[in-house]
Amino acid sequence: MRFAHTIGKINAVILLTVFYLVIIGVIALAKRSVSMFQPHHKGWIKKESLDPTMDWASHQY
Amino acid sequence: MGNIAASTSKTILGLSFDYHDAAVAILKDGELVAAAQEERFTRKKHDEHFPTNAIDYCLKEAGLTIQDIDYVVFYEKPILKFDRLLETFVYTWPHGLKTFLKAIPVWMKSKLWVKQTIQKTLGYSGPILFSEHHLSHAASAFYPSGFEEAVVVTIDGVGEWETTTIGYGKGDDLTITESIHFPDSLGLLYSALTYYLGFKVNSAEYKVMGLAPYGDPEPYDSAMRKLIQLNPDGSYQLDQRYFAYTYGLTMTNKKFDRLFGAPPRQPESPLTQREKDIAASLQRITEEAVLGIVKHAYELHPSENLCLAGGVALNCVVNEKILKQSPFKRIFIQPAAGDAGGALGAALYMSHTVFNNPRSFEMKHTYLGPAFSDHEIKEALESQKIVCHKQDRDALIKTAARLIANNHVVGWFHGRMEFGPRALGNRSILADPRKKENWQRVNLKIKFRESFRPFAPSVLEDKSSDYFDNVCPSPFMLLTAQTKTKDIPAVTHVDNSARLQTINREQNPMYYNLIQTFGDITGCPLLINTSFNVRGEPIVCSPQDAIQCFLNTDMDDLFIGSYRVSKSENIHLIRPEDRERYLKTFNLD
Repeated sequence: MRFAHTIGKINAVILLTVFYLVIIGVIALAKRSVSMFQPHHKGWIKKESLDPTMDWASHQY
Repeated sequence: MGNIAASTSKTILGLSFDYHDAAVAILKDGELVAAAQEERFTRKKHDEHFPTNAIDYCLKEAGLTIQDIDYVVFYEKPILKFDRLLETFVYTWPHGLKTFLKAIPVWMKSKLWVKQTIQKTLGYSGPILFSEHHLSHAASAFYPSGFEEAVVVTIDGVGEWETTTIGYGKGDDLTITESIHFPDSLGLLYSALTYYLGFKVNSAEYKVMGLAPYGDPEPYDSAMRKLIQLNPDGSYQLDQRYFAYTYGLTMTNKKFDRLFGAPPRQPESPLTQREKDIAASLQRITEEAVLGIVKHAYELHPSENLCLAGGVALNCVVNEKILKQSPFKRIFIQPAAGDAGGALGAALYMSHTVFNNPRSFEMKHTYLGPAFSDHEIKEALESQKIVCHKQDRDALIKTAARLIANNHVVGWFHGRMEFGPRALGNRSILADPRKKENWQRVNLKIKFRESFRPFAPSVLEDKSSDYFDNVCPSPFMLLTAQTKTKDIPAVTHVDNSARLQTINREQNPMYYNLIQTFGDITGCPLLINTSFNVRGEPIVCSPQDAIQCFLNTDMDDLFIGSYRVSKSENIHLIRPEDRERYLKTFNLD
């Protein structure tokens, strides 16, 4: 009984892990196809200048 | 202006930590009072941990407590950096899982909680602000440059997203206008090849630069050009198929190995012509890339002045090419161009742009660290039972110059410690540049480092043109020049270049007088100047550090404060087992 309980727990952990990885994988594959999500912007990127008048306390990160 | 900016800034503490080279800089009423890297206190090279010791020192130097600090400024934005980590993980899925799982606990445990760490560790309850990584670099270069207006270029591995930026500064204003983003990174390209050549990433890139003149760039030129595409507008792209840094625990991958025909060199294995050729090829393409970037920067913002920062700005060979081949007439390079300088830049940006404090200083030297009194030095010497002699300043300088002329290698410890990676005459090992054998002698018996590595000369600024071609002031040892003479073989690299430090009396009177006196004796106003440390050790900070380094190497004499220590009079203190233990204290860099 105790053995079956342990096996059940291990199975649950494995299933949850697989489920998590599948979900992450699906999201990743989906997002890879969306070009705006890709981190690889090529060449020079115009930088929006920082507004020195902004409230630094609320934009600190 | 926001609620914080409306108040008047008095004291700002700039911090950088959590990646590498943790550092602190303190501005008091707009003046840079002190700056130091944590590694000097903890004796762990490139120490990235919270800089408790450096903060304690800076506060003490400024005569303040943490409660007197008006603003603390961190040099980058952790959330944006975390955003890059997440997006890169998603983009590289499933390859990056291992790296992701390794990185996430560190981020969740500490890197995301910078504000809380500062508050808790320092007991600080005032405002904490966050600059941006490359903005901090840019500010560290522009504000202390002395230029009224200048183009500012920053190039490093990666900040939050940016790896290269172009900006423009005028008066108190500084704006970044264009940037290149991760994973395209000139700094990471250099680091990837540093890894491939068997050296330590984020530490030994300068060794690759020193290795390059031994090689021929041609054999690996086509392979190198497959790694990076240089565009006519100065931008560039790395071919990510050859790199693993976006998803792996190494910098390069198997495809990279196939391109270069072999796996990465094992650290400490013998160097062959192959590694030298690859280094030469990398150095050449880096020079081309940086020249493209600065020329584009000039087109965007025509100016005669250029400011540089970021780790790539420590490549003095590139800097020399910029000076000779770009339209810029004057150049200022932040001496602490790596992340340590970010602490200074963050504080300066806040002071000038956010709080509108007028610019008030030009960085003419880097002596911003701790100094020690003769009393403290005497105590340190006595605690080790060291035989020493007290001399007045003039006598000390004459004795040191005479001994160096007699081919002694001396440790030179005076005044405030340097900020940044270079020892510039206050924590230096000095020797005679006229003797070629000193190149190997200092490398192998004193620094215990690779024999190929060159040495830099310190030369009197007003005499530099006698020894070097087209030389301009290089106070921070960040420019190279071609030597005109064969009289200084110990500081002349195989391509006839030298990475020189020019020095004038205003910057460091004592060091200037020493070189001048050596010149009076020998007719050669130059010295070999290398950092006071052994391989893998941070530059010495305290008298105790200097004494340990002196006793455990083949240095002949130590000049420390007003005291002269001779090895021959202290030979009874030297034990081989102590030396072995000492050298093992430091991880090889």
